[in-house]
This record gives sequence, C-alpha cells and structure tokens, in this order.
Amino acid sequence: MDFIPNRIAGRILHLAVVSTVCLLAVVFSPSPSLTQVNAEGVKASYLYGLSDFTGSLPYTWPKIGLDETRNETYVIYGDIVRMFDENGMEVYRFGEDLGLGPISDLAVLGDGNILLLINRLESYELVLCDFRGTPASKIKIENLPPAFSGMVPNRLCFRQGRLYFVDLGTKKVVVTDSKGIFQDGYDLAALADFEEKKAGVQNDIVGFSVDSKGNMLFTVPTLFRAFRLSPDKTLASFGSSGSIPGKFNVIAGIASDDQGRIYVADSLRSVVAVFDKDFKFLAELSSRGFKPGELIVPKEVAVDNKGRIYISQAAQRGVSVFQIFDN
Amino acid sequence: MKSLKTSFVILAAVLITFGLSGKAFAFHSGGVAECMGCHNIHDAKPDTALLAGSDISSTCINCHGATGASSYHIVTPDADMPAGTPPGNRTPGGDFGWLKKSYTWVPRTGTTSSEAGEEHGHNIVAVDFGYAASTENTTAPGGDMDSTQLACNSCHDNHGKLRRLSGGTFATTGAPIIASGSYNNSVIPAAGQAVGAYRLLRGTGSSAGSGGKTFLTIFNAVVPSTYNRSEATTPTRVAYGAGIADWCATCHPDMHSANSSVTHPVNENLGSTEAGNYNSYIGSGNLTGTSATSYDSIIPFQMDTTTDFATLAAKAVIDGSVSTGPSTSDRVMCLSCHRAHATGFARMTRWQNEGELIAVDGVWPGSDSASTVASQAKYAMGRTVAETTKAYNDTTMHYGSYQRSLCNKCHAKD
Ligand code: HEC
Ligand code: HEC
Ligand code: HEC
Ligand code: HEC
Ligand code: HEC
Ligand code: HEC
Repeated sequence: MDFIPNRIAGRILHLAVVSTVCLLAVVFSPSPSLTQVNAEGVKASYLYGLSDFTGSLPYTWPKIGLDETRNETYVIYGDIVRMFDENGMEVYRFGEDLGLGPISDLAVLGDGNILLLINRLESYELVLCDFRGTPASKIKIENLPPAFSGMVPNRLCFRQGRLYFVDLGTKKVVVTDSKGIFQDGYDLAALADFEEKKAGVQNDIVGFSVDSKGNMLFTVPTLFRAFRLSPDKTLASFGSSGSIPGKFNVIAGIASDDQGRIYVADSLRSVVAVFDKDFKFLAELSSRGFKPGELIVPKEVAVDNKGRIYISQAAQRGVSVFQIFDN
Repeated sequence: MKSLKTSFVILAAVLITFGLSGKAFAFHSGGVAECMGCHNIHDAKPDTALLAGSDISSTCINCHGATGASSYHIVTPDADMPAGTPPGNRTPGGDFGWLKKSYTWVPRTGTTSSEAGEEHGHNIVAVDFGYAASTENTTAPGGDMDSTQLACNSCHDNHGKLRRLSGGTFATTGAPIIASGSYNNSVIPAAGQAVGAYRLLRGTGSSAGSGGKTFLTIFNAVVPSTYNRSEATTPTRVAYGAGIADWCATCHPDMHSANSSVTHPVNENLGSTEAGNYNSYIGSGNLTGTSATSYDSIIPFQMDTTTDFATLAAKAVIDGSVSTGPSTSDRVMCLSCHRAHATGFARMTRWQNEGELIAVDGVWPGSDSASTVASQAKYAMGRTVAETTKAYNDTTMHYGSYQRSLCNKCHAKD
C-alpha cells in the first residue's frame, strides 16, 4: 500500500512541494546564508520548519527519527512523539497518555512497528509499539555478553534490519537484530582513547548515527573531532578546531546521505559542515541567525533518502528542513 | 592470525587518529580551555566578545546542557523533562532545569498554592535555552548585583586563571595549570606546576565576571571524581573547606551573619550542641545515631577552616567509606542549607522548607504516591514522587516516617 517514489519522482514531487511552501516561508536559494565553497560542493535550500497547524514546532533540541521506507519524519520531545509527512506537516502524534515518561529515542522497524527507548538513568525500557504508537510488548536486549551487561542505552538507530544501542556514558554500542538479539558489540572507549582515566577528564560522544553501509559515525566535541567506525572495527577520524569553514568549534549531530557525504552540525558556529566520504571538506550549509533558513545552535542532523536534511535547533526553533542539491 | 591482523588495524587507526588530532585531553583541564570551544574567532556576531552563543551562559550550556551520561552535565534539556519528570542531573551544585519546574497545588478547597520555577535557584540568563533573569529578585537579595547580569561566569572564571600552586597557595599566574584541581584524585602539583581552582570558581585575584563582582575569598573544596549520580545507596560527599560563606557573601553581603544580626549564623563553629545533635540525629523522633555514621549529604557542613587539599580529599568519597559526622569545630555554611545552582525547592534550599513535613507515611510525598497520605496535595505540593525523590538526589527516604524539616539535623527540635 505504501507508495515509495523513486529518486527522480521524489525530486519532482518535491519541487511541487517547494513551490507551495514558497508562499508561506522564505526560501533561500543562492543567498549569503548558503556558503558554496567549491565546485565539487553541495548546495542546499531551505524548505520549511516541521510544523503543525499552529506553526513551526516551538521546541529546543528535539530529537529526530526517520522512517526511510515510508518517508515519514518523527520528532521526539518529552513524552510526545510526533509524525510528519513529506511536506513537513504533522500527521499524527502519540505518547502523552502512555505514562512512559520522557522518550529518549525511537526506531521505526522495517515492518512499520516503532520501538521506543526510555532511558531512566540507572535503567531503561524498550517498548515495542504498532505503527499507531500503541504499546504491544516490551523487549530486552538478549544474549548480552558480560562486557556489555551493565549498559544503559540513551541512543537508538535502526539500519538495514539491525538495531544499534548506544550508551553515551560507558561509550559502548551494541548491535542486535530487529528483535533485540545481540549480534555485535563495540567498546568505543577501548577503540579510541578518550583519556578518561585522568582525574576529571571527560570527552563525551554527542552525535551518533549509522550510515547505509553500517559505518558508525560519531562526534566528540571536546576533541574537536568526528569519527567513523566501520563494522570491522577500523576507526578513522577527521576534523580540527577552528572557526573557518571546515574546522570545528563545538560539533554535535552527524549524519550521512546516500552518496556517503557526511554532515556535521556545529552548535557554536551554527552551521552544518559537509564532507565527502574521504573527509574532504565540501561546503558549509546555512549560518547563524534567527531568520528562516538560518540556524541557532543546531544539535541533531538527519538526512533522508530524498536528500533532505533535518536540523534540530535551540531557541525553540524546532526542526528546519533543507533540500540538498548536487552542485 | 586473523584476529591479530584486525587488532593491528585498530591500533594503527587509533594511532593515526590521535596522531592527526594531536590532542586528547579534557576540555577545561582546570584552566583555560581550547579557545575554539567558546569563541568563534572568524564570523561571530560582534556584540558578544566573539562568543558565538547568544550570550555567555548559552555558550556554556552548549556542552553542559545534557542529562546524565557524564558528570559535568548540569542543565537538563527541556525535551528530557516534560511535566511530572524532574531534571536528571544530581550534581552537588544542582541542575538548573529546576528553574523550569513550576508547581501549583490545592492544599485546601478554595486555596491554590504555587511555586514558580524561578524561585528554585540562580536564574542565569541563557536565551538560546529559555532561561531568563529573575522577575522576582531584580538584585541579589542582601546585595546589589543586577540580576540581569547573572551568568555562569559571574561565579566561574570562563578562562580559569585562578590556580593552586605547589605550596597550596592560590594565584592567577606563577606556574602552568596541568589539570583540574577539583577532585579527590586530582594530582598534587609539583614545584613549577599548578592545578585549577575548585570548579574554576572565581576567587582572590580573579577579575570580575558578568555582574562586576570581585571575589576576596577562595572557595576551598574537593569533590569525588564521579559526582553526578544517584545517592540512593551511598552519598556523594563533597568536602567543603574554608571560605564558602564569605564566597557567597560576595554578592549577598547582608545574608552573612557577620554583616547582619537577623540572619542564620554562617561560618560559625557548630559547637557541642549542634555537632552533638547532628551526630545523634537519624530522623524525627530518633536520636540514636553515632558520629561514625552520621554524615548526610543533604545537610553538609564545612570542615572548620581547612584549606589543605589532602585533608579535604581524604573525605571526598562516594562509597560511603567516610561517614563521620562533624566535630565541634566544624561549621555551618550557606551550602548546609542551599545548593549553588538550583534545587527542587523554593529559595534553592536543599530540602523542603515550605511545609511542616517533608516525608509522610514513611515515603517521599508525590501526587502519584501509592500512599493515600503521601499523595495528598498539601504534602505532594504539586510534585510527582519522581520529582520529590530526584530533588533529594534520589536519596532513599531514611528519616522518620513523619519527618519534619532537616533544620533538625543540627537543632533536634522534633
Ligand atoms: C569556556 C569558554 C571560553 C573559553 C574556552 C575561552 N574563552 Fe575567552 N571568553 C569567554 C567569555 C564568556 C568571555 C567574556 C565575554 C563577555 O564578557 O562578554 C571571554 C572573553 C575573552 C576576551 C575578551 C575579554 C577579556 O577577558 O580579555 C578575550 C581576549 C578572550 N576571551 C580570549 C580567549 C582566548 C585567547 C582563549 C583560548 C586560550 C579563550 N578566550 C578561551 C569564554 C571562553
Ligand atoms: C566544548 C564544550 C564545553 C564548553 C563550551 C564549556 N564546557 Fe565546561 N566542561 C566541559 C567538559 C568536557 C568538562 C569536564 C572536563 C573538564 O573539566 O575539562 C567541563 C567541566 C566544567 C567545570 C568543572 C571543572 C573542574 O575542574 O572542576 C566547570 C566549572 C565548567 N565546565 C564551567 C563552564 C563554563 C562556566 C562554561 C562557559 C563559560 C563552560 N564550562 C563551557 C565542556 C565544556
Ligand atoms: C552563583 C554562582 C554560580 C553560577 C551562576 C554558576 N555556578 Fe556552577 N558552580 C558554582 C559553585 C559554588 C559550584 C560548586 C558546588 C559544590 O561543589 O557544592 C559549582 C559547580 C559547577 C559544576 C560542577 C558540577 C556541580 O553542579 O557541582 C559545573 C559543571 C558548573 N558549576 C557549571 C556551571 C555553568 C555551566 C553555569 C551556567 C549555566 C554555572 N555553573 C553557573 C557556582 C555557580
Ligand atoms: C556573582 C554573584 C552571586 C554569587 C557569588 C552568589 N549569588 Fe546568590 N544570587 C545572585 C543574584 C543576582 C540573585 C538574584 C537572582 C535570582 O534570584 O535568580 C541571587 C539569588 C540567590 C538566592 C535566591 C534564589 C531565589 O530563587 O529566590 C539564593 C538562595 C542565593 N542566591 C544563594 C546563594 C548562595 C548559597 C551562594 C553561594 C554558593 C550564592 N548565592 C552566590 C548572585 C550571586
Ligand atoms: C540554616 C540554613 C540556611 C543557611 C545557613 C543559609 N540560608 Fe539562605 N535561606 C534559608 C532558608 C530556609 C531560606 C528561605 C527563607 C524564607 O523563605 O523566608 C533562605 C533564603 C535565602 C535567600 C533568599 C532571600 C530572599 O529575600 O528571597 C538568599 C539570597 C539566601 N538565603 C542566601 C544565603 C546565603 C548567601 C547564605 C550564606 C551566607 C545563606 N543563605 C545561608 C536557609 C539558610
Ligand atoms: C549544619 C547545622 C545547622 C543547620 C542545618 C541549621 N542550623 Fe540553625 N544554627 C546552627 C548553629 C551552629 C547555630 C548557632 C548556635 C549558637 O550560636 O549556639 C544555629 C543557630 C540557629 C538559631 C538561633 C540564632 C541565634 O542567633 O542564636 C536559629 C533560630 C536557627 N539556627 C534556626 C535554624 C533553621 C530554621 C534551620 C533550617 C532552615 C537551621 N537553623 C538549620 C546550625 C545549623
């Protein structure tokens, strides 16, 4: 029943959307807020902020989830999950009356069911809901080896049939099948030396996502560095501190598109930097400001398979959506 | 063979990683952090000293605004604390998220009580995160500092210049800072080295921060290296030393008993009566405690006028191994009753001071309590059990079954 347009059809459909949105929101095409750095670069134009009928979501740092199969976007804020259609309009919401408390993250599974992660600091819960958000059962991560048994995940991703659970505190990642059966585990602190054995030293992972090849992307802002960990546990990284395009001030969310380009939000400079798959800097999207199409303290980024980038922000600016174009 | 190869690849990758980045330290490490963590030196907006945040405190909350996971998080993002859910951080200073927790309740038919979030602490101004100046206190009570200027760097030195030198003296220069000096496992600086002042707090010699107040005192204290944690099983014991009350009085001079006769004594020895009460007090109606186990992190005290790091560090534990209560020369300080950032209670007190009973029917109260007594509005005061419990840093309710104010820990009037 689901209509999954192919890439080109998606673009055409998308243009139609843009033209309607034009009437409501200012669309920046080649404007100063879109830095184009070189010919290999990418371009992006602002589409809209995710909205309901009262206007843009007035949220600070909401979390974003994507359902790639059905082209739907989820926004998690407190105990509410809101679902948005391809035009960025809210179509459905649930959660408030479930009494689960704040929802930390979610994953939309291949069958359309939704897995909610509830992190309670010392413990956590995984609630499997149907596509309407009605809880059906609770699941557990099964067959956890002892090295991972104490983990309390605060992030959750779903990619190609696998669930990725991340405990930002212990810096451990567990990969399971879609039922929660353990497949692999990664101790990021053992792979990359965060130097946390010294008194008071803390270097947090802030952004985390999994690309279409199963690589884990994560950022450590206090090291001014972004990382890519491939499934075979090879770790690569890029970035250095600075305020010119391509350098990092305080980085946060990280995501990649289907061409392998990597998007890194910089909360301090209020931009999103774009790198190619070899970590070569390509371009910088948007700039700091309160106008539509500008950014204030971006935190999370997510890219769907139609080349749209979703960016969550502070100052109650909710989630802004941009269309990425190849240059 | 294969696994050997893989681990070699990992090792090589790690080496390359840090070879390239050339650094792997903490952020502030007791002193001035990497400039790029706060300054956007190329295209910042000109109005804020090249800071890229909308204001100073927003710049700090970029990194400090998270829940749990790491200890230094002190502002729970709004998304993590919908109605009924408390802020999640349990640090000694307290979570600024409490400033967003307003409560209303109806204790008796026809009356409504309310407690605005802004009454819960220091209202730092951080517009990117929805924190505004206090509307109630236009200046610091007992002082004249303009509340609209209150920022993280009114109290902390954003550049962390104050340092503890090898001999234990403090200065803003004299030797390089090698690490944080806040923790029980912080290094002791050798000759020619220094560590950061406790929590990068301003003190003698520091320039004034936002709001223009110059400190004439050092805040002597040591904290366990893990400090943002549940206190359900063991307390997080911060060892406070000399200077706490004078430090707070920098902005609140008239709240200090040295300057006012109508305020509770501070920086005064507990003496045999109050120290004795503290050591025997277990809860309302129970004075059977002993000094060996009487320490309570909800009602901390100052170790006389101690400035020695090692003496303080020996007491800063999270495993319950040091549970001794005060001696007669230990002191009452502002932080015996308040926290430094914010708390779940009015006037930033460490426990409920508005009602007669802080716990009833053997449990912390809350509107959703299973106890028909503890769920009553006059006890719950608009809070859920989770909110009340978190406001006590998840301490298990171990006092009297009908427990009165914790002023009694020192005064035993109940
Ligand atoms: C933790 C955040 C932070 C870091 C890291 C930081 N600064 Fe600052 N800096 C500030 C703040 C906050 C101000 C005060 C802005 C104001 O008062 O408007 C400031 C102001 C300044 C000023 C102007 C006022 C003054 O104090 O002289 C200079 C110059 C400066 N910083 C230089 C630096 C340099 C150089 C570094 C790196 C070695 C650095 N800063 C690192 C937060 C930081
Ligand atoms: C780039 C991220 C980042 C920014 C921006 C930042 N901090 Fe921190 N802060 C950290 C980290 C990480 C730690 C824990 C490790 C450490 O102390 O270096 C920390 C620790 C601290 C501590 C405890 C230090 C100690 O030694 O006990 C204080 C106090 C503090 N920060 C205050 C501030 C203030 C005030 C600002 C804004 C002027 C600020 N921070 C901005 C990341 C940041
Ligand atoms: C009114 C003064 C004051 C202000 C304003 C203030 N702090 Fe603090 N802060 C303190 C004191 C005092 C401590 C030590 C508390 C203790 O150990 O009991 C502290 C502790 C901390 C710690 C260690 C964790 C903890 O809570 O014990 C961090 C991190 C920190 N502050 C960051 C910040 C940031 C970021 C801001 C602004 C959003 C800020 N502070 C505003 C006084 C202040
Ligand atoms: C840099 C100046 C400064 C320092 C240092 C400072 N305060 Fe304050 N304090 C203020 C200001 C300004 C206000 C009024 C604004 C507000 O209430 O948010 C205030 C308000 C308060 C309040 C009233 C809160 C309320 O909600 O009514 C309490 C209690 C308090 N401070 C206690 C302390 C304690 C305890 C310390 C020491 C740990 C301290 N202060 C250190 C500036 C300071
Ligand atoms: C013995 C416990 C205790 C000590 C010690 C203490 N306070 Fe308080 N403080 C309280 C209580 C309780 C209140 C609320 C009083 C009320 O509601 O009338 C309060 C209120 C305040 C207020 C708000 C006053 C107002 O007008 O809104 C400030 C500011 C304050 N204290 C600062 C301090 C400072 C600074 C120190 C140390 C110099 C200190 N306190 C020491 C218990 C204490
Ligand atoms: C950490 C211990 C401690 C706590 C907690 C404490 N006090 Fe005190 N209190 C003292 C000491 C010490 C004195 C001075 C006694 C003396 O001079 O003999 C004192 C004195 C007093 C006095 C007499 C004042 C005077 O000038 O003689 C009153 C009234 C008082 N406290 C009320 C309170 C109230 C109300 C609270 C709770 C908000 C409280 N105390 C919490 C230690 C404490």
